[in-house]
Amino acid sequence: MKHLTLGPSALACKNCGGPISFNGTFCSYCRAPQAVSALPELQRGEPYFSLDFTRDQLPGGESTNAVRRADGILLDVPARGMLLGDVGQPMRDSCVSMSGICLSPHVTMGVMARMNRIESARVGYTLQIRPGFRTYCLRRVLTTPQETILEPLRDWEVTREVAPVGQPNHIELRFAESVLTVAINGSVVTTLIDARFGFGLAGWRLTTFDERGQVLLRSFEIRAVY
Amino acid sequence: MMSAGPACPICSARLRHGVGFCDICLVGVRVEGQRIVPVFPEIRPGEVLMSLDFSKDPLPSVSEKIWKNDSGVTTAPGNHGVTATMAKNYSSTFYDSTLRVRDACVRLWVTTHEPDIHVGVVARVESIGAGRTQYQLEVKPEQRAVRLSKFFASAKTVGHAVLFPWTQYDAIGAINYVNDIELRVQGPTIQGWVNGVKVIAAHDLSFCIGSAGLRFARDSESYAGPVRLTYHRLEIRQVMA
Repeated sequence: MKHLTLGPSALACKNCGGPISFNGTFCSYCRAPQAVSALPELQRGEPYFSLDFTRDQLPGGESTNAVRRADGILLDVPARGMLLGDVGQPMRDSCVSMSGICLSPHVTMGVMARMNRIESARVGYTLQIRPGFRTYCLRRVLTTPQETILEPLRDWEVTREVAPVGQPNHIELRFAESVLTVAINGSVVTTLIDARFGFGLAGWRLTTFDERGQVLLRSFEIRAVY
Repeated sequence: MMSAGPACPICSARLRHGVGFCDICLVGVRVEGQRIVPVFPEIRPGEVLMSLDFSKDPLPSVSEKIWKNDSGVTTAPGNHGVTATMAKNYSSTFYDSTLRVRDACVRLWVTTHEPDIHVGVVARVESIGAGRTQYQLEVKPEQRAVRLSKFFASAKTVGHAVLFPWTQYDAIGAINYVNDIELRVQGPTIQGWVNGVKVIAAHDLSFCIGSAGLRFARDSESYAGPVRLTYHRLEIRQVMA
């Protein structure tokens, strides 16, 4: 991993450079008054962690059924199943992105951000797309070995930015402080404020509904945001 | 870009030379002798958001002072507050979900009357479906010890990650003494205070918003018989510059 400044300057104190909150009224370090009330537009910055699945291993845990191909890593997701993995080091602000092709209508692919482990549980954010319906959703997630609880921030919604089954999709979740931006195939589809989770690991996540499905993963990347 | 320097004392990321904040976890840092140490900003209690006097008011989110549940826990008016009685191992958190705030100071005055109890305050309590996450500052009066942890509960399981393990302090009152327990959260900075003494300072960004309230737990049955504690007051304040 390269070393970079990850966060946007709009969320740094003009006086001392310390971190400030969206809607915060002062810098907690130097006590200087602050005002960040306009929703910052998060842009993706320089990459500092990249995986090309035509040559790199799939990071994280549950990749035992991964098949290496010349154009990426093919994963088979069982019906009503989930495959996921953590990547890199915990972080506050960044842009997590993944490219891949969903090869079945029942499969979703997505990225996770700010995943925290508390004993057997993980909590954080997950962005998923379901090309079978050309939908996306952004949710908070709590998973344990026994259950998965999902709470929508943006519930499943059709967007033409999601390419259909069999075509490549590139999804990005950009986050800084409590600002979350979703970009799909280069277009921003939503920006919102959620202060629930502030720090944690990035990752990838594949799920299916009633039938098994396949996904070809091409790349995964973590970038700075500004 | 500046060259990479020593490791952040909080998250171990490489720090940039001459820069006072970690780029990854955003903690302030400074050099002390040969070491890099974290800088935790001051948290100043501000305007009152909620004040409950348990000699008059019920516990947060409970409509009556007399309350009981299926696990044998009861609350009733008593001894300058509300007294909770637990017959067996049990834990519960009381908070008002309509008071949702990022930065706050949560302060509780409480007396325990028997051992086997830990009691304290919670902040950034947020539900997720039937689950919940929170920070909790707990005191064990019989051991005069305090602990800070992050906690989750779902319908099927609970767990916690300790941010500051059980540690004894003279400032903590024993059984049958009133303890003034305060949790202050401001951005990633978390402080624990007991009886006016700052006993914990930590940096954690896991949870950044939520409700605040109080908590009790019985985690052992070494004491034969029910255990009691009395809540006197709860105060939740904003932070100020």
